[in-house]
Amino acid sequence: MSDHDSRTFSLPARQAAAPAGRRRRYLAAIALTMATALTGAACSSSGGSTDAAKGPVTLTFWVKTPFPDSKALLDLWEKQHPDIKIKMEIVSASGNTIPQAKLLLDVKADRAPDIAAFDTQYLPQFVTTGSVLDLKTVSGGNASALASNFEAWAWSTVQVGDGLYGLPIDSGPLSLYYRKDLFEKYDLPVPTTMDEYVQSSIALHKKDPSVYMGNLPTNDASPFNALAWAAGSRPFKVEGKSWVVDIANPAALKVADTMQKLLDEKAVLTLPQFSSQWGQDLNTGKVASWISAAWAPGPLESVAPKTKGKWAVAALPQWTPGTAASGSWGGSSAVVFKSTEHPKEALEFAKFITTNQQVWSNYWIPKITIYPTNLKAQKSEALSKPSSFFGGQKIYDTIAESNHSVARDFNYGPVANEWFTTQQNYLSQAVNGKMTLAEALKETQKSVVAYMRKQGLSVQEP
Amino acid sequence: MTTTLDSAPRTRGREEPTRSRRPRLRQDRRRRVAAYGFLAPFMLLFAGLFFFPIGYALYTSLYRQTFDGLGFGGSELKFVGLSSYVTVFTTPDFYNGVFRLLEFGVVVVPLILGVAILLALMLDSRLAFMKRLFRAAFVLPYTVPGVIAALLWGFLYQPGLSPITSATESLGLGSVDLVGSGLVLGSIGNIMVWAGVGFNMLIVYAALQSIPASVVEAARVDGAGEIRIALRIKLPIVMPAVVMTGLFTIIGTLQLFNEPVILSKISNAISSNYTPNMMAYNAAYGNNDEPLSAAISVSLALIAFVLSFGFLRLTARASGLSAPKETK
Repeated sequence: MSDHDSRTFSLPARQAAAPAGRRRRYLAAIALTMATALTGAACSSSGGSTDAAKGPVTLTFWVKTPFPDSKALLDLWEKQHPDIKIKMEIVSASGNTIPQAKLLLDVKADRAPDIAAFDTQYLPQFVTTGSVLDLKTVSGGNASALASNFEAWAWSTVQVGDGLYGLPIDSGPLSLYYRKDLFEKYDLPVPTTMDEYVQSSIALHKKDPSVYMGNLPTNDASPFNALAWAAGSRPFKVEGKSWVVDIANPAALKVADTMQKLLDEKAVLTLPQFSSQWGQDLNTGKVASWISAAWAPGPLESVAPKTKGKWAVAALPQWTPGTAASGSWGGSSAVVFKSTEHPKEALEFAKFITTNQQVWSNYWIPKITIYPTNLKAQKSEALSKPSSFFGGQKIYDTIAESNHSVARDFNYGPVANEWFTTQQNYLSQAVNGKMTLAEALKETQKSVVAYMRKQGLSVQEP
Repeated sequence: MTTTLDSAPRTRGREEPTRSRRPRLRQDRRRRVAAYGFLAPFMLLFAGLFFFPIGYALYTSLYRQTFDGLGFGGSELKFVGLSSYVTVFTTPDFYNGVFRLLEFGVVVVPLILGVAILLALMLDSRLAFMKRLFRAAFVLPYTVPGVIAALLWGFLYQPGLSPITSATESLGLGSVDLVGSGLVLGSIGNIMVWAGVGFNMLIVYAALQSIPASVVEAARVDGAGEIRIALRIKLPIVMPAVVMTGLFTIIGTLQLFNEPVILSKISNAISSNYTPNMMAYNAAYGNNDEPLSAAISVSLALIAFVLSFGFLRLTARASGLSAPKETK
């Protein structure tokens, strides 16, 4: 488990945690917070004594899980910028259950790092702490001009309101990862629409009751919400000075009704995402497909090594036949904090890890298996190699198409954690037959709106 | 007990007038200073580690994190008085969590106590053999840290790995999902009973050891059998210990956290607000909302307080904490 934990830098690390215990991690988080309190204090005093303009500058860079071989990344940087040292801080060795907890606490305690990389879905929530630097305000940084370097939809996820609060690193466009051999064995066509996907799921489970087409987890609302994104759901929008919250919108309800059919037919697993049971079922061929993000090949290879060579990738089954629309699950961004004494250098580093081609071809793609939001890096040779796990398929051709068809202007809203956990709680009730998925979405809407209003946020409902 | 305590000051009181007054006062003062000196380290730590955190939680809970408009300007702490408590007690997540624990506690607490008492009495009985071995064996689960216990049981529960599930399958009883929505609470209860019995048994057993042999001997001479001695002689005498273990168990149940958090990794039926403690955790570390988390924690403490004192009142007579009137 920890293997793919460390490999996937973006969202999955959040769920990939082995059942090691939130409590222990929480204690570890506290211990770490205390440790950084000490080192942070030492660091800021030395940072304060050196003049910002002269002498070597040290930037703290916060990442949530260990980057394998991170030295390679930092060496690349220091070769180009010998005067700017990067101090990498890893928050949790095992991937925290609530990965942003430590950073949120650090921000509150006024010892935020200079730069951090975390899941883009939490970016607006971080912006509400008032601690994230609007990169447009960095003098001489010319951050707005970077737009043309990035996939347009990914660029829209780091813009919150009028501000530019980060630079996108990777993205998680959805594709259908499926077991080619099982599809042939059970004589199933590769679904191109979600209706076909449902029919295939039911047909497959009828042919062999021990095999399922897919899984609907309740400990992570991300896959559901990414599917809804593809269907056209826009749960949060900024309109003037207030949030328009529409979690139970028609597109999301369509997803709910479709998945409900699978639940009613008991033709879908409901295992926790990244649980060992789920991994075991994948490895033993009980799961025939996974609708997942661009980072999926990494974890797939590590949880299901026995299935090597039997997989293939196809485009995401469409909600509207004949279209090409996708959504994103996960993805991360580099963020600079207001408290930094060196905003210019911090922005430079953020640019480096998001747009430097060497970083992409030598580090992100081969070592972390993530998919770039940077347009030039998408053409990297590292992405055109055939994958042996996928029987020699050039998987990134399919993934790239999905990436280009992700719809723009999806906003995760200012209370992403509350939204996701609330939805997960109701999803749990829905898969256990206590309500329908559509009802779960409506309850989530009600609950999240009430939560936001209580916090004083201006909220409109459609 | 009560008679000796009562008689002691009376004898001292009678001696008092015989002593001269002034040197006694000075001595008293010196003694008092010394006493406070010795007490100071404890009082400081007690205040710093007990009253301060509680006070701070109470103080924090009176505020609310508030935003403005879109929320991008950061948050402010606004004084809202007790309104967060209204929020907590009217949130279905909270009272559902509390009801779930009550429902759970009604089964688990008597079970833990019952088994603990039974084991203690059995160990204490004349018929027991290999006492030391069994005592160690009963206590062993308690020495396993709660998180580890939950992990171990998690492996035994997990459908694909569970020997329990494969046993029911091979017996033709069908596949039992021990972490499904129907059974998961029972599975958590099982871990608690497994881990909790040993400790409680030890306390009751220790109390049993302090019963004078003559009392038991007298009962035996009067013709009481082992079972009768256990129920009529021993159990009433160790009742204060039983009440204390009951109190611990009730409070422990209300603080349920480790087991559901760990099982939530393998179960689709445990939500992030399954118990009030989990809800407080998510509020603080997921939503970055300490004031609400403080309010949830204080509310839970209040409920624990009410239940504990309710339990003490209910069992006051049995435990001998309130002296029966007729002896006075």
